[in-house]
Amino acid sequence: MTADTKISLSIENVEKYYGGYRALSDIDISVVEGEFLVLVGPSGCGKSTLMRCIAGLEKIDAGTLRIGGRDVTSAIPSERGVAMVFQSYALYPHMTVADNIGFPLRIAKRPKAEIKARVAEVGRLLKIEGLLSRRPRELSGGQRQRVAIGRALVHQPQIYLFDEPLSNLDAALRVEMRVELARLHNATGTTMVYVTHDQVEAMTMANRIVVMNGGVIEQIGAPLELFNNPANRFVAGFIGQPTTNFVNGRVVSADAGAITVELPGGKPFPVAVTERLKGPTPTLEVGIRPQFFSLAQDGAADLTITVDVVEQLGDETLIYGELDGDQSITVQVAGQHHVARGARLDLAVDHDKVMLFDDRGLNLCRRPS
Amino acid sequence: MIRGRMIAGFLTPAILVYGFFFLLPTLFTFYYSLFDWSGFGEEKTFVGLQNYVRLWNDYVFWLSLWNTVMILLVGGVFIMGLAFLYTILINSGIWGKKFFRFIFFLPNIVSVVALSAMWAYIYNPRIGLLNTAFASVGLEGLSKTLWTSPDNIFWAMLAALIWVFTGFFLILIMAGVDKIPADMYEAADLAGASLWQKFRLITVPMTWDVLTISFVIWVINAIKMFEFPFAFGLLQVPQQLYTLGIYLYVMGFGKREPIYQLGYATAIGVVMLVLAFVMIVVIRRLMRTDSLEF
Amino acid sequence: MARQGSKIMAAATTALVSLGAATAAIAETELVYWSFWNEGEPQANVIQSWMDDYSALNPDVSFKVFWNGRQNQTTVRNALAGGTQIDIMDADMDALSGGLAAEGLSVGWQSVLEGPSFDGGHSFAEDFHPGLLAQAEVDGWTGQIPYAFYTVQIFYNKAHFAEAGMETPPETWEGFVDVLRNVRDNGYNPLAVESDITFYNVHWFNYLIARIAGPDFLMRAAEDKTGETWRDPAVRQALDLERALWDEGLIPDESRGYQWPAAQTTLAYEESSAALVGSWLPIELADLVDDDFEWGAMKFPMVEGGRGNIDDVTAIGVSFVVLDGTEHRDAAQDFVRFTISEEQQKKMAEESRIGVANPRVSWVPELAASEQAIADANLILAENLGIKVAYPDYSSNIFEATHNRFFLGDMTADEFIEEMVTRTRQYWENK
Repeated sequence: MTADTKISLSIENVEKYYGGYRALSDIDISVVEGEFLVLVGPSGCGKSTLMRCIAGLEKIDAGTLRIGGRDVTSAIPSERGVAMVFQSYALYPHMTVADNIGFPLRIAKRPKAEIKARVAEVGRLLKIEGLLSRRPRELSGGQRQRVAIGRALVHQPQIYLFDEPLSNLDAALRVEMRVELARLHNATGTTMVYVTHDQVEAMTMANRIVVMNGGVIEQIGAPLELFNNPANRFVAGFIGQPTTNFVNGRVVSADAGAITVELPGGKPFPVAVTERLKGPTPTLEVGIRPQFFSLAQDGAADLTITVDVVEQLGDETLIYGELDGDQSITVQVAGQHHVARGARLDLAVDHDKVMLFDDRGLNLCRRPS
Repeated sequence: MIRGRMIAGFLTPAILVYGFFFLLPTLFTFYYSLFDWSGFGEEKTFVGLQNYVRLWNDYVFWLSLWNTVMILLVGGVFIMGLAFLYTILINSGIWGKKFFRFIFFLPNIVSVVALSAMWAYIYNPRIGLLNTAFASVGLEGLSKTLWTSPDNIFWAMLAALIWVFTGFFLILIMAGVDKIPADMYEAADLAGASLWQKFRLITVPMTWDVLTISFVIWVINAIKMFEFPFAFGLLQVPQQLYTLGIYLYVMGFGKREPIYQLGYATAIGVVMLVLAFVMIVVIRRLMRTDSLEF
Repeated sequence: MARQGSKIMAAATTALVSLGAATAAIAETELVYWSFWNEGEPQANVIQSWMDDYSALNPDVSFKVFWNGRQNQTTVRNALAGGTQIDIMDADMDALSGGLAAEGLSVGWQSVLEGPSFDGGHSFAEDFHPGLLAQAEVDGWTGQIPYAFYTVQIFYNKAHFAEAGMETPPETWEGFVDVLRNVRDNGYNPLAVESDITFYNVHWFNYLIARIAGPDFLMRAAEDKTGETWRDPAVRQALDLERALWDEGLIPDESRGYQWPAAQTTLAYEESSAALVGSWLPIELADLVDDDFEWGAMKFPMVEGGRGNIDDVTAIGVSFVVLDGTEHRDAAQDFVRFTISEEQQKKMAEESRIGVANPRVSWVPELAASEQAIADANLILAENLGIKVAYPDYSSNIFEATHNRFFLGDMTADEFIEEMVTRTRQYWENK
């Protein structure tokens, strides 16, 4: 972050309670102007609540919200300079597409000619100029999505808020809209905050991702930063697909820069660490992404699994198996491999990519990128 | 062919029942309205449209019609307006939504006689709730108001009637408003819409179907309005409270008076039927719209 | 003695019936009675005992009762239209005169009235207060038998009127108004008036016009197809006397807002002192008044120079009708004759505290003045001086309603007269 970058949205120590339930705690995020920030996390993690707090649809119980440097903590939604695209689109069924898009301008009592021109412009941008006189029920899901985005665009806000906007679309349309949203972001250059539970959307669209869980932020960072250097076991498990394998490993020795671990049925190997272990620890949770396995050459196996299921994807093969002691392992290897069910398979591990988590789930191997 | 016959076969009982219990009596009503008939025995004198000519020249009929129309229009505006207002207030997130909804609906499950007795107490000039309340806050002038004097009694009754009916339409309209998704209003909040704009641009159009039904139900209720103003008169209904329904009853069934003019009364009934029919057609025409999907 | 004997016989027969020995021998007559009373009302209880006693005397006669209440005549009308068999019913006398009796749906009583009474020793017609049967007649034909009735008089709080210096009830309007002024000056509201009950308020006009212009004036005014009779100075005089009651504060202004029973409650609580009303009022208020409350009733006073008689009194009767379609005419008429007997009437007078038809039966003490008025009666006046029976729609929709507007100050005397002239003419044009 350089000195001349402007902070578009600043969320400082925000807390939110529903009765005695703490929905958000200690939320601290600074969003740079033009940034595409994705809030991601499982259902109920507080990401939608946080977005609604930013929009002003929910009051926060502590902390400060600033937009463009202005304190908007207690401002009403329309004074915050935000536009929001709802998961359900929230289009007005009794209005035409043009009226839906022009709704914010109508509320603001703009001249009719201006509304018409702005709606037409947005329609062109979103390639829905032919649908302007239709009603929402005459549109497909993707078209409704565009109208909802159009209504946000016409606001010309400082920040766009997207609340799971693609979740109601089918897979193919979702990919298409994903690309379009990215294009839109490039074209407008406006700050966008985007909520999703889909880590693929997060990875592909975000400049930075905020991973949330149980009302707290687990980690904020660029997509690859989160992939390569997750702060903790939760982020490691949430980001990346297929999901990271977590296996209990025996600590053979622990030095200042490295810990040697041994996986069930494998040979001990050292892993470089950036954090020291506190106190004697007999076992550690070992995180290995499925991509960082390879089929072992004779005698070089770090561990051995019993193959359960094999999925052939053409360019790669997914192998699901079990370690001794019933711990399951997913392996992703390039190319096509034919392995029989029940066969014993020797695997090598890229030791530099192995992650170790202490009993609090903290990643001991955060490597500078 | 077989399909057609099957449909006809299944529909026949319903059509017969409907025809026998609804259509036929309606036609008979019109038929009887052409007679001078006391209702005692079978002896009737055919008088053609004479009963309708009499109605045209009948001061009390026009008075009853005027009162009915006042109930329909003034009552309707207040009932629908208040039902909407209360809906918005109750839905604004105040505590005890179900409690208030129950309170407002309560008059609908209490007998009208009990209600009118309660209102008689409220309006009592000396010991009544209203005047006592006004006196206690120092509004001496207002506390001397004779709410049920001949010049006020219709409006006093109408106020009570509005109170009775608002709860029913509150339930209907609230059900309509409740099915509007919350994000419709949130999107409007983000655009900076005022309460009035949200009401006009979202609530009203999105409850249009419920409103149409409510208006139709109200029109039917108002045109055949009987029980409440009748009970409001307790021992005797003063003419100031006559509705078409009450006048029909007075002429056809002679409460304490030996007025037994069933032919004439059915002519009033026919007028009510035509009035209701015309009003409903007009409402449906005026309020016709595409069905909404959300 | 004969009655005593038949009673013993009856008791013995009942015993036999209840033993089940004689059932087969008795030809059953079931009289169907639709009642003006509601089950549980004192009058209903008395009528039930009449039926029980009659069945005891006549074991072959039993009763089937429907307690329909005050809408009885309408209920009966609808049932008759549906072909229901009904033998006996009862209702307001005037309502019957304009309803079932007028329609010729009741049996005539002339021969039975000429025959012996149930008690014997005199004719059945002599079982009635003079004038009562005349009121039951329509065009010289008797289609109903009154068994109980109320008088309409000025009922007052004796203590208040004594305090006001009244020793004997005034016989003139001036004397009456003088007493009321004294009552007013003693801090009471002299007259209680319900704003909404037109058929109470109209008694003021009815009595005044009858006292001023005679009891037949109102009928003449109603039957004058030009309406001009309403311009008679007598009307103006009656209206002015009514108006003066308000203007002098003898009726409190707030009465314009009283809805029944607001005003009569003020009587019970001794805030007001008198009302022109039927003799049901002392009974209706019995539970509300103090134990030492004493009712008086006075005849409606004379107006100076008037053509009426102070002993003319308005009565509201309740009558039995035996329906024309009955298959048990003799049994039904015999039962009705039985109900007018001294013993049975005594029960009605005492248990339901109402005036009764038989002059040999005395009424309860609080109705003593009422009974005296009937005994003194020169003429028994029908409600609204007969126009209620003859022209019920005119009487109710035009006369009573318009009068009430005048009475409560909604229109002046002149406006009332103009309205009545116009509406009377329209009524006849439209008939």
